[in-house]
Amino acid sequence: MAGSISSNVKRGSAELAILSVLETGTFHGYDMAKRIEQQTDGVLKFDVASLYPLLYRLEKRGWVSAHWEQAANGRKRRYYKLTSEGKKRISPLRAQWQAFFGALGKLAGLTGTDADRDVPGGERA
Amino acid sequence: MCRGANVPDFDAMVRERLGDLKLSRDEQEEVYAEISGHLELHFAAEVESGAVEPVALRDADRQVGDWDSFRKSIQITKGDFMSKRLHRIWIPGLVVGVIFLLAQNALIHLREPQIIPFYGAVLNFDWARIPMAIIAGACIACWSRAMGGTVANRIAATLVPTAAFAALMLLMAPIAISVDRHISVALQLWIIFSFLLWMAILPAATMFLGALPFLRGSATSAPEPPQAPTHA
Repeated sequence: MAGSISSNVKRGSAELAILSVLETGTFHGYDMAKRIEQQTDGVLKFDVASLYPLLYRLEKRGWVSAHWEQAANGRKRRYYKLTSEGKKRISPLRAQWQAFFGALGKLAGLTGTDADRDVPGGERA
Repeated sequence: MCRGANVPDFDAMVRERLGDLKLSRDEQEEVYAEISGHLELHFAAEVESGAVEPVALRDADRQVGDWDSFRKSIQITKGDFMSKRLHRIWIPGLVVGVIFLLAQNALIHLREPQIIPFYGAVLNFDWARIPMAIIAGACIACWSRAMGGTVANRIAATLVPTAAFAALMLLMAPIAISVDRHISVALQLWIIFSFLLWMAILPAATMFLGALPFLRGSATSAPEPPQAPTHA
């Protein structure tokens, strides 16, 4: 059982997006936002106002940690990485979201094929 | 970084628009640096992709949009303002204040206090309280600094014990005046003022003296050790 679905769907999905990106490496905020945008073909976009409060929240919870590094141009950048606690949290979050989309799919017919939808009275899974 | 483009001063822009975040100085500087760095990269990428600089700048600005709500959002998530105040002002001030009070009581039992005539009233005072107050002030400011307190936090923490004592005295004053009717109100007010002067204002000034060496320098929270990059 994945547990109850969080009422704050938007924030929860954003958290999963960030944690999933950080699962693949250590990135600074801009890099993270770009990767999310590219990997979702522009469907998910993080601007500064939505990204950093979320990162700070995850950092406070201890799911991510941050450190400063100097870039080649001399500019310091803050890099984020998953903590062991963050790694533990990803699986339950994924299960929660799978359960959520599964439930929504059943309700709204999102998982049915086009053929199923086109045939009146056609059976659905 | 962006083909010699005239890169705007995002650091100054972020400082101006975010203003005071009510975080420690170090934390605030980190936020300014991180956000301005992001906007700088965004601007550079826009220029690289062919946008003219004013358009790229406007687009970078739109990354935040409402700066006021962004500032509040950072303060709520990163700041945990009340909790920090508690740990940087109230706890150091009250804990050391209580210890100071207990030490003063112990002193009364150990030594005979001096009687000081003060404009018609008499006060019990032990001069050993002065070094004790200096040490207490130093301890409070040092503790507050260790918790990441700003200079203003450290001063406030140092004033907490005497301010709390003074507030208690002022709250009790009307009760004392109404109960003790055989002394004139004017005399009672004079006694209260004398008491506040000797028991709150002068100790506060003395504690502040003790805190002075710890009002310099930034918060002593240890920075995270540098780590090797794990990506290109």
